[in-house]
Amino acid sequence: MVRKSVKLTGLFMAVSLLLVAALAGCGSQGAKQNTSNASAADTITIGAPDAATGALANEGKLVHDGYTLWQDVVNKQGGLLVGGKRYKINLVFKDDQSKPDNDKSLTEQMITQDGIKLFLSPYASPNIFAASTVAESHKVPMIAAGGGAKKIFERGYKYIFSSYPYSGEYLGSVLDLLKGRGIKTVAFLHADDLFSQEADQGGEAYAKSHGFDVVYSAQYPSGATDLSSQLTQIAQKKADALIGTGHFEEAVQLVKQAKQMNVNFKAMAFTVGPTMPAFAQNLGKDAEGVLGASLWTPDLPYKDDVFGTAAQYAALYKQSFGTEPDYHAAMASAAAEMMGLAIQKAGSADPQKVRDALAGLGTVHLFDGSFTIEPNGSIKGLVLPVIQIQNGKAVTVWPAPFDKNIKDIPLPPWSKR
Amino acid sequence: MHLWGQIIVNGILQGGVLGISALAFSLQWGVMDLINLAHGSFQILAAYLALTLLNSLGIDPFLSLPLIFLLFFAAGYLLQLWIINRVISANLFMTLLLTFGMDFVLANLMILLFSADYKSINTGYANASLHLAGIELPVVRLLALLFLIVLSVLLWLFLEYSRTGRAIRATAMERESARLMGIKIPAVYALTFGLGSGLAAVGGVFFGLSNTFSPAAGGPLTVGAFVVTILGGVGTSWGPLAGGLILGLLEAVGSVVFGPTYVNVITFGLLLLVLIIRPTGVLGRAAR
Repeated sequence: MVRKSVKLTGLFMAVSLLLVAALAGCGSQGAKQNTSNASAADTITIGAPDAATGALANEGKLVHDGYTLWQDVVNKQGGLLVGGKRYKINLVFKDDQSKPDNDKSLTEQMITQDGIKLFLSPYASPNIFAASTVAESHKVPMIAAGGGAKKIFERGYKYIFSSYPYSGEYLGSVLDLLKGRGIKTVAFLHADDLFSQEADQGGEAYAKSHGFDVVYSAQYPSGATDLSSQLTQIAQKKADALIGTGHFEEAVQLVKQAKQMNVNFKAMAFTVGPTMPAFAQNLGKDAEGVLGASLWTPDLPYKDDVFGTAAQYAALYKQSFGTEPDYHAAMASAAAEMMGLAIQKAGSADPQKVRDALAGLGTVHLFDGSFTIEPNGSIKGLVLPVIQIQNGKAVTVWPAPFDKNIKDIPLPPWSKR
Repeated sequence: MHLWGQIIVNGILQGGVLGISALAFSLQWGVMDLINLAHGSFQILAAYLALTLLNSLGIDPFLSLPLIFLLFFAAGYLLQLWIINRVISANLFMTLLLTFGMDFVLANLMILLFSADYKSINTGYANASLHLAGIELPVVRLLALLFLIVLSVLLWLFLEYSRTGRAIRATAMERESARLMGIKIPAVYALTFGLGSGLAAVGGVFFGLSNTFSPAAGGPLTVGAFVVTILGGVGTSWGPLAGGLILGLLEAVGSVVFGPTYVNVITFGLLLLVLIIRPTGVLGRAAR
């Protein structure tokens, strides 16, 4: 009897610990030391909670590198020119372990203890959502890179800005492309997080208003490892195209299982996945022809004074980090650039002045395109590209004139590949 | 393609994937009252090892499987002998803390060694399938189920009929009496943990073949093994097979009837139900 109760207590403890582990994600590491020398008069310090470890460590690194590249390029140019004087940029990162709760405490800590008054956001909408509540309460501006959830901008906040369009707009370009390729019926599958839900809703609404027949739509729990039964159902509905809005693993799993289940589509498109080099590496030739909704590619014909053209940005990035940049990195650099522009316009690093300058930036032209800053801090007008995996590489196939690069839509069946 | 036929098959095959991942977890729990929270990370490490052997030496995962099993067996044996045995006779909380810590160390070690990038073991047959009467049978998942059945039978034979197996069972039943009968408990534990680690590695290689993984993927695997073990019942070689099949089928059918978004509700609802109605699991023995 005693033994049994001991066992039950143990079981209870195990369950609690497992829950803690699940909530914590995996991997943990103390916050990075603050290396700031913010007191130096000729330095502007900008804080950024970032996902160095945990479930978002992958994208977290891209965002980290995107911010860092801006800092390095600006400092190499002698610093940021503000009111006739050059200031060195000093970015301070602290590891949020991918957890939104940590973003709150880290942002609080950086504002109150480290005296940081300008912020770039952590990665992913939930994390931005959390961090921006603290920035708002201290009246400190934060520019978000890594999440376009509409909910972030619907709270009437005055200190949150973004370099990302709304998640709901991600799929517009993909659907425009499919429309021109004779695709009529589409199946939507999405994960249950904030970003995926909004991207999916926006995509489905766009599809319906543009003459597509949405034959299947379902939400699966993030991290799902088996979607074979959903694919079986979709096959029965004879969908021309599969559009997946979720995470990298799920996009890879959907392509793998589509092949395993011999479910053929004329087109497959994902919001997250194909733009990352790991997608083609993981799937090999099964990745061929898959479309990816992107926010930026090095082929785009835009340029600015800091990085030069999109292609030059890519070269700079590769020189610094050894890999090609994907849109997470580029959009992060763009967010950092917006901060630079605002500081220059404000003529000071005073948080209130920088916020007002951001709100008044209007239409900006950066290496990632031209866009307008909206009163609620979001942006509009950015033209979103689409990429397609061809010979293991992401090739820009949208907008025009890149549509001449489209290959193999409709896709050949698995048996003919 | 017949819809429901295919969905039942999907569920059974997913049961194989879930079950093979839980085999080791169930064994360690049943014999030693050890809930190994580093179980998932052990599996991911094995997947990385198989991937490294494939990429650098060109060894197919099924050829390297025996080697990986032996390596993990040895590592697990020593780990138990030198580290876990020191706390295992203390209360359960200590071993939970220890394995929880091991999980953190392993997960971060893997980020350092392999980066946080997603990987999968992409062999020529990883996405192949057999077509049988209009039903698709993905090869890797089919093999996972076959391996699970074979390993369950071997484990049962070993525990039931071998001298060492009987020593393990005796230890599981009543540690003190077993010790008085001359069984060396630390050695039995080391052997069990070693065997469990080897089996975890087999599950890990299958996970690597059928899924994408990163160093952070261990956590969900541990939770999955936990659910399967409780459903199937602790302390029986057939628990993981039964638990895996029940869960796989229920998830497949449930995800079609109610929608995939309710899969977790179904899973944990069932878990709760089993804990209330039959705490020993479907096949588990009554508490001794």
